[in-house]
Amino acid sequence: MESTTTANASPLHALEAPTPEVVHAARTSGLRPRDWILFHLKIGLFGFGHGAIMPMYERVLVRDSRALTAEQFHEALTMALMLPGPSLITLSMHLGKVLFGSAIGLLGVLAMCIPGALWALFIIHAVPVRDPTVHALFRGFTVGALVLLVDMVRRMQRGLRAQSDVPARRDRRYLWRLALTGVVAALLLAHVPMAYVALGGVPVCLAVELLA
Amino acid sequence: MTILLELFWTCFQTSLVSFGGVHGGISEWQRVFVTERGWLTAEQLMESYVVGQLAPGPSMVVAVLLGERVAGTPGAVAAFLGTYTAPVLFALGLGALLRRVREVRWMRQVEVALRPLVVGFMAATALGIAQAQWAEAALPMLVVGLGAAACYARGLLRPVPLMMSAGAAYWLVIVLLVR
Repeated sequence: MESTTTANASPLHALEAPTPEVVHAARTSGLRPRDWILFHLKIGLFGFGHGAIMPMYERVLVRDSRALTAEQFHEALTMALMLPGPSLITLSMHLGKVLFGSAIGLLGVLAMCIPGALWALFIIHAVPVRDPTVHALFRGFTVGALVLLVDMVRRMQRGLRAQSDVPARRDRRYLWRLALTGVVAALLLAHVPMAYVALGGVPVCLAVELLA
Repeated sequence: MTILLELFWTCFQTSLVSFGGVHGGISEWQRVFVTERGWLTAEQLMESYVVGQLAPGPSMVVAVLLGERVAGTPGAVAAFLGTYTAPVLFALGLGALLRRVREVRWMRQVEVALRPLVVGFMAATALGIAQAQWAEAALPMLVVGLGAAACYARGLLRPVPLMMSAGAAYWLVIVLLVR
């Protein structure tokens, strides 16, 4: 079995942490199962503006509690997004399971999804969505979510520099990855379906990585 | 009973093919709910979609609204279970996969190589939201967006209060502009 222990000088060294160490990190960080479930409840009750949810995970796990390193979070997010299905639920269940076990993971998912579903049913039956005041409120929520999302993208693009000690400007792999990121974003903005972008993108990304 | 099982199975399948969240799911829901089964009209589907975007939590909640339209509360429960079972099952296998990724160097490199797809996806989501907001009302978006960004950067507001205040501020800007 090949290991990455030689990468001690890079940010990667934090990555070898197998599951038990992540669990340990969660304990020493003070993040408890109760906090995990309350955090999901908060998303389900007040997490208006869908773009904001992934940034909220990153904020709680990486910045506030330091239960995960930025690398570990990025890795889990990549895998969740590359698998088919709603990646938010995959990510939530996976992280909950890794940190606190399957039962707490499932409770977290339910704590987020049930209030969200009740809210949606309430809105469709009781809220005058076309009313200008309500409309303005929801638009404002979305602008708030946008701020969180932009902030997350800004920090996540640093993850494109993984496995590198060279300065950013001379890091050819990083520049290639940055260019690919732009192409992916442009294609998605041009309404090319995500499935096609992912299917076509995987071989292109791998080829660029090998050639760069 | 049959219709509940059908709803569960339809939502389970849609959830599996909805690559990239609700936007991947909408065409599949359209195909099954509107075209194949004739359970809903295209207009009802779009209305549920819009409301699903407004509710907090995961955007796949649209499926619950569709289920409720088709078969009342039991339909909503069937759609809920169908939609969220698939990713939970996926996540149970993801841990083992990630352990392999950490241990095997080439898998680790593949994961890093695929990151542009993920960051690009997030950036496209942000740009898409910004584009739509800009088209609707550019000035309130700029005022509230810049204000919220400044508050967030200085650490004055945490995510949920940030969104709540942005909602209130946006409403205020609209009121002030109209008067």
